[in-house]
Amino acid sequence: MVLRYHVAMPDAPGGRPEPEPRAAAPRALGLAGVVVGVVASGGLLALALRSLEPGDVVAAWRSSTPWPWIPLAVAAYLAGHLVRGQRCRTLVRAHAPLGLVAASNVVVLGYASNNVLPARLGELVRAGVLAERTGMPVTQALTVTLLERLLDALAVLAFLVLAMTRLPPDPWTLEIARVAGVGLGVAGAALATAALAPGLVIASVARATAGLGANTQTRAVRLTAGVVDAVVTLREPSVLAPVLGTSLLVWALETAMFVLLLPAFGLAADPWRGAAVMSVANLGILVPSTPGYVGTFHWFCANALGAQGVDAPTALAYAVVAHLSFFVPVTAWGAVALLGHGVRVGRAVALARSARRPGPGGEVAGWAYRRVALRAAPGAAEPPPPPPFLRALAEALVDGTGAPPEPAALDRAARFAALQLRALPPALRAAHAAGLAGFRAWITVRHGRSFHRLAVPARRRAVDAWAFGPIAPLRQLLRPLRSLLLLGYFESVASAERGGRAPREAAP
Amino acid sequence: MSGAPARRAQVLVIGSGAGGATAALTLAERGHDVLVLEEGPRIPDSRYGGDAVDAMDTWYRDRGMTPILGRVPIGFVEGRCVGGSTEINSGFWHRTPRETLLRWRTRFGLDVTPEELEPCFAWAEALLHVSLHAGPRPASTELFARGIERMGWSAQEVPRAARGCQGSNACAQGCPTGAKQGVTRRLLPAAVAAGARVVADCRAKLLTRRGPRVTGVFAELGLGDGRRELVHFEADHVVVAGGPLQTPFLLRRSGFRYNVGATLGLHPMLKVVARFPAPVDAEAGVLPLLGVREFWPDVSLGGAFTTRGHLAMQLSDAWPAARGLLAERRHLASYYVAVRGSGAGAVRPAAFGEAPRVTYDLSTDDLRHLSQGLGRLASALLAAGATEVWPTVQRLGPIRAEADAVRWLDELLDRRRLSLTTVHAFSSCPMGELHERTATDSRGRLRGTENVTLLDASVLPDSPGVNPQGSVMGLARHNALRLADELAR
Ligand SMILES: Cc1cc2nc3c(=O)[nH]c(=O)nc-3n(C[C@H](O)[C@H](O)[C@H](O)COP(=O)(O)OP(=O)(O)OC[C@H]3O[C@@H](n4cnc5c(N)ncnc54)[C@H](O)[C@@H]3O)c2cc1C
Repeated sequence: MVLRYHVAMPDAPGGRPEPEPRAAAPRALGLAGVVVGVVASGGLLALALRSLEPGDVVAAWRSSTPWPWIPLAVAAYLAGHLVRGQRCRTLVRAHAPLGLVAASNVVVLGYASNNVLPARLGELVRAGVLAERTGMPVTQALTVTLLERLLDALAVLAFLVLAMTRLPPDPWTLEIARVAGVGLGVAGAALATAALAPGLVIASVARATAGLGANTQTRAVRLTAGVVDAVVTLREPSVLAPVLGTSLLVWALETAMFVLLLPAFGLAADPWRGAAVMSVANLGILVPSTPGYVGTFHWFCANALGAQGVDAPTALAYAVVAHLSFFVPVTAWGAVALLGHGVRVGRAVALARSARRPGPGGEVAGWAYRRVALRAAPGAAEPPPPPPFLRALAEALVDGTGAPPEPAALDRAARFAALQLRALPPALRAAHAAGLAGFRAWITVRHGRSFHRLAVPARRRAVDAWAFGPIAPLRQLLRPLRSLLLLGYFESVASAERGGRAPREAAP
Repeated sequence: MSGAPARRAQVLVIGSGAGGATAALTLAERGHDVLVLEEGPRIPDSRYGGDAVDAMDTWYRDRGMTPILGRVPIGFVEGRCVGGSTEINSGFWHRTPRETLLRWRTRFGLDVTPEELEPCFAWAEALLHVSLHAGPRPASTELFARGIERMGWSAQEVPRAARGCQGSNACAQGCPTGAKQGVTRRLLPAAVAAGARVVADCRAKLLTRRGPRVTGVFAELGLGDGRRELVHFEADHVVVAGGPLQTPFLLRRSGFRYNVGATLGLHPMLKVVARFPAPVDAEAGVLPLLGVREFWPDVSLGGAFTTRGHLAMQLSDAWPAARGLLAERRHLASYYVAVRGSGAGAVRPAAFGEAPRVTYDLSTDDLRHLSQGLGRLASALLAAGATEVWPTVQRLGPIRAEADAVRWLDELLDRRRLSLTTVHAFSSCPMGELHERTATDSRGRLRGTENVTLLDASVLPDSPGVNPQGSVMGLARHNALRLADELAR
């Protein structure tokens, strides 16, 4: 039956503007793509080789014991790129599905491009490719890239701080850690604000640019929305945890590379020393520099090793080999990725561009509007499985109410309560989660097993002690949960008994 | 009246609830070009009266998890759908009491007389079919009436916007029979027939301004395929009717702060479950219809929505002792004490997240009124024959004798043990001519702008002392009529 008034809705034809249709790619672009791909990857390799000094390479190689250390180091480094790919997938999951190989290729293309372009311009290349692969706006892709770099820098800093606690004090390394800490702290705080208060950030930009005219304001808000949408994904624990985990793993693997190279120069494979050198060298090359960080990397790497008491010629030889160990494989991988990518790039770029750019205006229900930015779509809400803890809590609460508990209603109540808690304001949700963790820990310590493994009478006693006991904060902690579980359970039972209702009649 | 005015203004109305729908219909009828932006979805008829658990996701803002923070946290819910809270409320209807309007004149300089509002109430009542309950009254009402009579108090049946109510007891999930008049029943269809457009799934995020004029609204529009687009609508005039919490949130985000969000008022409510010796089958009929006027305006007593889930929730404050009671649920019915609310409330954008941070500090007067109200309600229910009255107060247990009930006329309930709720919030942007106390003038025109009008519960100067929808719609109609004329000039 039909409502007698018009409400513009997705299902109401004419009610909502269709997203712009994607332009059909001309066939010629496909061929052009192949040419672009071959030329670009050949160029990449040529540029890369040009920036190396053959004499240095040969000298360093001669002074080392390559086998098996260098191949192992390279393997650790390349494994790190697969982990980076996985992290990139997680970060863009809300916007587009990306395979592991495709994501790793995107990452590697960025690294390879940095090897041939100055001033870290490879980051722009990587953002462009990411935008093309996912269809997300370039600003957003660039923010994802910057976010990855920031996470990298934070992880590297963490490794450095850890290493410094284990190594003899060294003022030079300490100074690097201090400078990096301040810079990263500021950047991290800005990103945290964008992640936690995206609306506030967009509103502030809109208000700040209000006097600059509609077009400038639109552009500024569009740019901000892109940045904020990329960052906001980190708010979800299901994104934040794997992203932090993979970031640490990436740099653990990179540390492994530096550690494995130490024995190649007769040095002990000390993980702390490796971590310190890795950290200083990588923080050093955050500074925009020459293509492939030639010079910058060597200077920071050799000095970091020197600060650990290694003599200068060995430290430099080590730096040259370490540089080659990442430079050559990643550039080669990048060239191969670019070749494959280039075949499709022409067509894909044309498509992505037409789909991505918000047009100047649209119209809804006959009312014109100006398009500003496409926002990240909230992830499809999968009905979560009933959490065992909540189900067990529901079971303890409904025990003794006169009828045996109904399993389907328990499941539903647990799922309902979980979704309700998720809808709490963020600060309250965090406080509540922390309190519940305390409750569960207390049960585990007291009974030697988790709450949902206790027998129902024991669970009931525990709940009664907390939720109905004399201590007000404990009662308040469990108050929302016990109310929600009881509401969910008994409404589910009643609803199952009642069966369906006939739909509402149309308005006369 | 219809037809094109001398000047046809483009008016954006934010929110499609009691205030927004009234504004949209009034302005469209008078020939203005109206676009209503509603954040929530349009709910298809098939989902009215559906499952109570699913309903939280369908109809309610944040699934009904919008707590009001303070020393005593208060559970609050409001609608987020086309029709706003009117789709899920109980439809009890009160005109603003004359006394309240006169108080508002004195305290806030509100320049609206009871006589001026009279036709506005009549207009809304006709559209909403406001009437008394036809047919036999449910047992929960009859018992309440008996108790009130035995106490020697005055009470009245409260009219409802629910002519032909069949007692489905599903108001909070959207009335399944269509008897309860949410504004999607007649007001919004009439507005659309008069030319207004309603866009669902479109949240206004920010008012854009240049100098004293608002130029339009940044809004987030659902594209129907899971994607959302940030867009900008331009308008000659903007009516904000997002409700008592969202209106001040939007205004403050947009840089309007003068008396905005600083004076939120509520009707804190304490529920009780009464157990009667004979079955009352409250779950199978309409909620108790009587309102006790005796202690008005500070304390109101009345009947609450009774379902199995709600009973369990209300009894959960004394669950170890009360858990067995649900087996006798046919004997149970819920009632409430609501107080006028003299505490200090505020709405501010939360530091993090996309929602307002809402606080309310329960005053000692509120606490005294709640305590006394509990004493009186329990006395009346016991006089009606209830064997036990279980209040939503933690660790209090049932009241079984009048002597236990009247204790609360003198003593104060322990704040830390109260489980309070409310569905009535208002006065976060009070209106009137007294500049220093109000955010808008008597016509709802936001101070500091030339072209923004507030027409929802946020502008009630303080507690109306009765259920607010009548006041919201009466004042919205009154001010929308004036706005329509002003825009036509
Ligand atoms: C369960 C319940 C029972 C009630 N019972 C009664 C009763 O019996 N009698 C009575 O008089 N009152 C009752 N009330 C209160 C009454 O319904 C409200 O006071 C009244 O609806 C308030 O009107 P409003 O226009 O201010 O807000 P609402 O009716 O809530 O409408 C506001 C609308 O604006 C939308 N909105 C908010 N922000 C934005 C934005 N930024 N962009 C776009 N849209 C936005 C919301 O989604 C919502 O649809 C009850 C309320 C509830 C929740």
